[in-house]
Amino acid sequence: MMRERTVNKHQVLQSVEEATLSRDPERIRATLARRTESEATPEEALEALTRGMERARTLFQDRRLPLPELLLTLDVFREGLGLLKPLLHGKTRPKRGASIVIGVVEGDVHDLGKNIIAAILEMSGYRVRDLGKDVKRDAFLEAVREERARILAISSMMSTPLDNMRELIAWARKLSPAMGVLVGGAALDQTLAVKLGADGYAADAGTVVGEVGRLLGRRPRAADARPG
Amino acid sequence: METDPARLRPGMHPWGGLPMLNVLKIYESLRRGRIPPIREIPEPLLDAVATLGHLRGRVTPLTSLERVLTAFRHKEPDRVPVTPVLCAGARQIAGIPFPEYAQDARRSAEVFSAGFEFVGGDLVILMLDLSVEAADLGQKMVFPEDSTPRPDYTNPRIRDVPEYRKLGPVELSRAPRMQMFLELCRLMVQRVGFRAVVTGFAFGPLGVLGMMRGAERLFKDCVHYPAEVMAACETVTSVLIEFVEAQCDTGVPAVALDTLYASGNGLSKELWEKIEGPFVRELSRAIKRKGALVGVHNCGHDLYFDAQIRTMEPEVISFAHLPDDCRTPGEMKERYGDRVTLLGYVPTPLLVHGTPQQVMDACRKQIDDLARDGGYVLAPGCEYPPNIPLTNAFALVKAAERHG
Repeated sequence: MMRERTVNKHQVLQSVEEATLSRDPERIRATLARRTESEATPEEALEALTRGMERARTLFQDRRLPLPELLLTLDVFREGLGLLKPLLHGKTRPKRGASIVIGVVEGDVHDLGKNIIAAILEMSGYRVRDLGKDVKRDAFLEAVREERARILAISSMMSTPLDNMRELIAWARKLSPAMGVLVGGAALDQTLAVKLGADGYAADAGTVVGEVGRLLGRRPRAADARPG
Repeated sequence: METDPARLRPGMHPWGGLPMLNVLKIYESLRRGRIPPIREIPEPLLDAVATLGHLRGRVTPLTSLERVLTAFRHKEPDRVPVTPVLCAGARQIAGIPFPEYAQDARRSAEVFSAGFEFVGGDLVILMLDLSVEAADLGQKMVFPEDSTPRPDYTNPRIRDVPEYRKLGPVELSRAPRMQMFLELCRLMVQRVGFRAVVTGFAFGPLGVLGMMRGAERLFKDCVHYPAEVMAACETVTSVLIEFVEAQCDTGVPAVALDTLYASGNGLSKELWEKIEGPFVRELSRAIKRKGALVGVHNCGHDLYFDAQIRTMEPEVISFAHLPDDCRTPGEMKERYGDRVTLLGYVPTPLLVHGTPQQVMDACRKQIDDLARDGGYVLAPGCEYPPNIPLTNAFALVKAAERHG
């Protein structure tokens, strides 16, 4: 009987992982409902959910998963996370001890890339506060203060708000000198990130986790590593 | 059996592929000081003109028109043609605020004229913003003082899936932003005359829907509700066909179609060909029926050159990144260089942060990679960033003159 339940647990966790990739919210709901019939804990289910999302991210990075499918997988991940959170009693995934404030700078309303990055960072265990798009400087600074953020992640698809980005970075530096500032978006590249005063540049969803890790590990700043 | 004239190569007779010269149309255009519809000119004649341009270009400078036509026929002109794609950025020369530039055809024409007269270039690409069509289809807009117009995404025109089928067409005569753009085309064709090639512009139907629904929701809808999205594409395309035909009637010899979502930033290749492909094919045919050339603009990553060529058979592709099936510029030139004219692809971030020398060095590298045998126009990968100094626009033009 014990053996049967163990097998069942593995099957359920495998189903959770596969359901995440199915892009079907109904399926993840049904699969997570079956969890209680097994010995799988909510924490283990969350790990399985995260593994599924990580597989999707890798597939996207390797160009084997198109953007719309990644977005649908993120929806399933969020659905699963929402179902599991009440069962975790605050014991969510192992935190990396860092909070991240993220948003699109004032003057730009393109938030698709930012939404993906926010979800991936959350999936990776960071505490993410997403301020949305067209966010004013003071709203960013207030959130940084409230969250004691270790990373400020800001984006812009357009070149027109770059002055806003530069100004925000300067103010954020004054407010929290030890905080890392990460930038991204179609208007930017590595060199421009440095010139705007950022510590890091994430070209896409594939590089953002590594770049955040680098900033938190206090490895050399983008500015120190690559002369502008 | 009737042959669709749009499927014919330029200047071929619809009955049997014989060269045909529509003398009246060409005469009428010339009489009005416009570049004639290029597809009305027989291919052998175009090739002869290009060959002449190629030979004459070795000893004496060509005009912009000669240079562009020679390059488009895949022959090397005197130097590489260039366009800084200077749109809203030229407001700085004319001192015109964004909202006026975006809403008043005369002010907008002042901006584009200033860019052309002051900075130069062989092509003038009339790209106003990406919301022209969506605004006339009912999308509420925001006209910021310091940026190009954008949809008010707090108030999307398409709020949920059933609204795709409820989207109605708009009469072109009652479409203020499109009418304004047509007036801009007329004014610029008049002002530029034979001195450069002025091109029109339209956002593809999926792009227009993205402006009314939001890209993220649209992408998901394309997967779950393709029939609904395609129904709306059909409505939008009916409006766009009238719009691009009217652009051709203003005298622009080419119209660019923006198909942003045919890239890694949008749909999968298969899904794009299924959903937007049939509609942009119709748009391309409408432009060709008017005798104009078709350009494609796509500043996405890993864009689908092959799928876009299959569906639209464009003469020119403007791009910011390499296509999904090429790893190097050389490979791109090898694979596509004899099929389309490549227009690009100086990175816009470099224009923001680079020195003029760095920009010129990047241009030189691209010219070395892509200019061989014609079929190349030096340009930024997208619109020149509107709020930065124009120094690097000059550097771009200078690079073509010096290294082209």
